Amino acid sequence: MNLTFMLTGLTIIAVSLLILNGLKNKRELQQNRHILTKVKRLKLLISLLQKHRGKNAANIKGDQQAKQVITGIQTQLKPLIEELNSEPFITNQERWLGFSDHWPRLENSAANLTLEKSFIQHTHLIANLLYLFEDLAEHEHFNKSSFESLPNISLLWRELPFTAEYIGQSRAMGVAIAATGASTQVDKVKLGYLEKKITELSSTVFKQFKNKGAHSKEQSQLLLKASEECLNLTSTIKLEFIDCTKVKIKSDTFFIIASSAMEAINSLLDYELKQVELHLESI
Amino acid sequence: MKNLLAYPLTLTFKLMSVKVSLISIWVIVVFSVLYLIQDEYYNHYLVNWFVGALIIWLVSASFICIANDLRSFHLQLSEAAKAEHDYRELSCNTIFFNDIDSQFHTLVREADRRIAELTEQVAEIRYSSQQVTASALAVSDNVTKQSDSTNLSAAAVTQMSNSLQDVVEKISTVECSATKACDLAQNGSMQLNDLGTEIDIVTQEAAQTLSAIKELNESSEHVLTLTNDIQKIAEQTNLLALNASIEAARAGDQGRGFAVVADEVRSLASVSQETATNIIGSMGGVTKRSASVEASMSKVFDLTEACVIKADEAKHNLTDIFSESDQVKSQITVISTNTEQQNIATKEISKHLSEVVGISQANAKIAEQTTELAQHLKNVTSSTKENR
Repeated sequence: MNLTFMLTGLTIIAVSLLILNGLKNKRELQQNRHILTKVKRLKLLISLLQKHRGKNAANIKGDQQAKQVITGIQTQLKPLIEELNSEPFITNQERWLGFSDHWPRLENSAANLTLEKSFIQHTHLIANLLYLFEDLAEHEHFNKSSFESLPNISLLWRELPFTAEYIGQSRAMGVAIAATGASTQVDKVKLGYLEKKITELSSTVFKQFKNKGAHSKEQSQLLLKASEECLNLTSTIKLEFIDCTKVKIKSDTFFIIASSAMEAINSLLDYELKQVELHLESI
Repeated sequence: MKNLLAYPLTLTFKLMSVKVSLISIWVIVVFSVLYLIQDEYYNHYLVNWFVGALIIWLVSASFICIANDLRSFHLQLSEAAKAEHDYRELSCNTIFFNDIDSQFHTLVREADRRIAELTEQVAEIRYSSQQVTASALAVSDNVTKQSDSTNLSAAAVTQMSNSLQDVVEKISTVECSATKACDLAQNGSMQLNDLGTEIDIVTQEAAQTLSAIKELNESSEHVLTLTNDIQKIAEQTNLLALNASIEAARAGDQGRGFAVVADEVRSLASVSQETATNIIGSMGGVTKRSASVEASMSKVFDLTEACVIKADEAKHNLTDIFSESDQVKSQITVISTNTEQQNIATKEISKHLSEVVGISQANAKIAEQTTELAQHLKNVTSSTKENR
């Protein structure tokens, strides 16, 4: 009797453990989905800041039309920052605290800064958020061991966003140089380095995507498009800024070329994020 | 065997959180013990065996789990110690050290990021140093070319300076000749002035002579008129003497004396007429000669006037020559001054070019040193990267 009672008790405990485990998994899944939404919002925030950097560089160089775009970006940024401020994990991060302190000051003073200072401050701010982006993914274990069906998932949190960031940096620099029509030796060295980084990083990303994992038609198209746009951007940088004595390309033209490359990388990233989302929904 | 022994515990920990698992296990243990000690089998050996076995299992399983955790953590540390590790590849399945593992993972991630940033900076420095090397090489090459060009320019300027020295000397000679030409032109002008004055005097004299000849002609005309009158008087006297002879003949002897007088008067009239005729003939010759002299004097006058005009023209020409020579002289003076200045300037340029050559050579050396420094920087950054 006592043995029966004991077995019954142990069974109840085992069932309770299973229920608890189920609840734990469900809670984790919900948390994962919730964080993925925040990750996407954070990505949008980074994209807007990259655009803000590019347009601010053009504004400093005298492009009057850029002012309106900057105001539009700042209007878009406000609700986004407020939304991310409601996420406890994010608000507890030092990187976010640093951003929250830095951005309002930069937002007010960006137009009065020198081109170099504006570029450095924006880049520092964006780098901070890119690391936070990766931290957020790491915290939620969005990695290979958790997502075995997505072998390239680690690329989503570092390589792809950093490729887009290098493209963004080259866009900001190139737009400013094209606005003045002259490229100094230092500009050439900086752009040359960025061109090298974009080529290296994008090659690594595309190679890894091609080598690992199943490819859907959409992904193959996005990869091809991103590869072509990156190649177009790097060759434009080489031709129009490095291997020439006078910069002839128009500021707007280069902005469009760089933005196309950036959009192609971001489309690939969005597609892969969608795959993560679908994977989470399928569990 | 060890893992099999620890498996139920590991499974429990994996299914739930560590805290919940530990609380649950100890609740079961306490609940079982409390329940069993109230039972009739309190002193039964099976109860003692079961409780003892449970405690031993729990302790052993816990130790095994901790040992596994430590092994896993050690493996992770070994992986992290590798130079080419990727923090995303690091995984550690611990039960009790999850928080420590998470902290460690964060630490490695941040350290890797710092290393990545430093690597980026080193790569950027390396790339920049490559560019600096290329630029320095270009500068070195250009400076060498510049030095060669400057050497050639210096040689050319020295040659030019020498040529200019010759030109200065030649211009001095030309200036002397121009001064002489100017003086000669001035002398010629003065002599032409004197000649003009003398020709004026000759003209005046010729005019006076011509006027005198005209007066002489007029006098000759008057003499001729008077001679004609004398000739007429002689004719009338002859006629009167003839009449007187006729009358004396009529008077006979009484008129003989009268006839002699009349003959004498008639011969005197004849002599007078002859003399008058001779005078007229002589005056004709005088008039002819006078006309010839007048014509000659007219020619002389015309020639002297032409001479005056020619002398005037020559004077004007000489004045122009003098003026032009003077201008040439002043221009040669200016050219001489300029050439002298140019000579000084080319000497200065030559001197400065020599200095530039020296500076260019120094620059080439600096550029070479910069290239070496940039190469050194590249090597340092390369070795830093390789050492990582």
